Amino acid sequence: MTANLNDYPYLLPPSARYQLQMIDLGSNEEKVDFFYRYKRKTEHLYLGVISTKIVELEGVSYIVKQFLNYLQGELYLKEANRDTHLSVKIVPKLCWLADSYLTNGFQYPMCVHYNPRIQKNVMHPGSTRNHIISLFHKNKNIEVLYFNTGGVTFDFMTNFKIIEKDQLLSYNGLSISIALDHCSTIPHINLDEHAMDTQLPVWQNKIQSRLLNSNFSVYCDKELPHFKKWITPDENTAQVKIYIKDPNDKDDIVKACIMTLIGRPYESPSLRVVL
Amino acid sequence: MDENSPPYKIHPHVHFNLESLPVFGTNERIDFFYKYRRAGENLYIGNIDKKDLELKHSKPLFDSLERYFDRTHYKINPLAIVKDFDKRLFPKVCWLTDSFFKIGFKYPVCVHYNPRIQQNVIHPGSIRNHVIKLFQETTLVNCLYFNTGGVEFDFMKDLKVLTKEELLKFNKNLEIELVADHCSIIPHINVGQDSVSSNIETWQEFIYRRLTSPSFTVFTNASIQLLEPWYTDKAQANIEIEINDVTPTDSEWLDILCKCLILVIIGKSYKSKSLTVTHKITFDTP
Repeated sequence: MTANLNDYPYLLPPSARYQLQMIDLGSNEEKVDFFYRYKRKTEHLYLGVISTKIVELEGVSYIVKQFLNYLQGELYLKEANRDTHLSVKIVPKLCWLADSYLTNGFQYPMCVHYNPRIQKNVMHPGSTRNHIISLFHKNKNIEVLYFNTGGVTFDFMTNFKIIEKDQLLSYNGLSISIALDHCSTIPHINLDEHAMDTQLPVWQNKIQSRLLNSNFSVYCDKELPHFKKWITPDENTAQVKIYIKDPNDKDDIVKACIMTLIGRPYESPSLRVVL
Repeated sequence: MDENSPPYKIHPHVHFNLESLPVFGTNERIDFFYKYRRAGENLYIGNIDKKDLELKHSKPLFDSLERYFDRTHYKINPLAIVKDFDKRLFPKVCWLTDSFFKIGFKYPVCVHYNPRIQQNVIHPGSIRNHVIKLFQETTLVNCLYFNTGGVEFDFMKDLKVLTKEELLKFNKNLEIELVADHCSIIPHINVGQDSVSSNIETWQEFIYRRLTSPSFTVFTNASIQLLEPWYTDKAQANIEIEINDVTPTDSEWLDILCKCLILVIIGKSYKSKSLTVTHKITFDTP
């Protein structure tokens, strides 16, 4: 038998996915009911606070390329909404969530579950907020909705509170999907899902206006290819000034891009963005 | 994160595979499966070539057989081993092999595609897996097949989709468990499960009688350590084992040993390229 996904006689149709494929259920009520009915006895949905140290954080290498692609490929000229290709929507989404975080902090608990295959606690959904944590909130505490897949127990769960079915249903803006994996029914919850519909186009427009404004110019003390089109050598007249210690530091590149696009000053020992 | 270091703790009962969904009742499980399976997923029935199935290595089987003989588990009361998955393995494999030689497999084996290892695996049916690997000479295996995630194989064109109504009527002794994995609900079907305990008891008793009988005498041209207590010379031996393959691989050698241990119990004379087992006296098996 072949072990290659693409070799004959093996055919994997585009619809055959083995992760992040949610079970086809109807309303939120049906999904919540399904989850509470079929979860294992020792499994619970908890609400509590954990350190981001124990959550699997994704690196931002991928985001550096996405910013480059977005700015140089003029993807800010395209329409951005929930259904838009990731390469277009990821930048306005990051900018929206970064601005929201820097203004108000995280407003909703994030959804985390234990993944026994990699023996890590992973944030699902919330890959973009995962980047916000990596960039701005590392080693700090966050509020989470936590699912202990298989009934696993961690010391950090001691002060967690179990969320019962009625309480979960009472959350405003609840969006829930169920993934069947590891012999469990894993809830994927987002309490801010509805905001994407309004915020993505808003932030795409904001970025577009900023970048198309003839006064927009960027000075950077090191070479930063992302803003090549808007770079000016004149530090005094530049609308945004970026002082970056290491132009290869991916976290700082992404931070510089975000701050430049959302129009916020920023200062850390390795990066300064001045407006 | 280390499984054994704090603050991590996995309880002994926490399983991340082979743990069924808490849906109760055969009809309810069948309903659930057909309601929530993904588009493109079906339960099929038909013959699949052995080469398209993942057939397990004989090492775990041999290890269990070795413990059974070394620790004289054949002396244990049959009732005491029925629930012990290790100790009952030998009587079970003897029963299923004997049955296989007499009438073949009565029911199709349950197979599903496991995307993590990219193999079609037999589940449940680990013992029949060994019987197929060791003794089935023909290539086709009758299967109930589930194409996890809607995967399509060429061999599926010869399979027939089994509808909910057909599965409900399939067999009154059908047992089904549902496992949530790979984003699918994977049916684990067993037919005739009700006879397992009684057959294990019967075969445990039978093995005890075989191994404690003065007529159980063995001659072999190669060393089979586990049968040494029953060695005798060629003229007096009621069972003659001739191993023809002089340079088997480790894997082939384990297959040969497993075959020998099973065949001497079930009284089946057998000939293959690498092994000849001759029983000089015949007897009825349970």
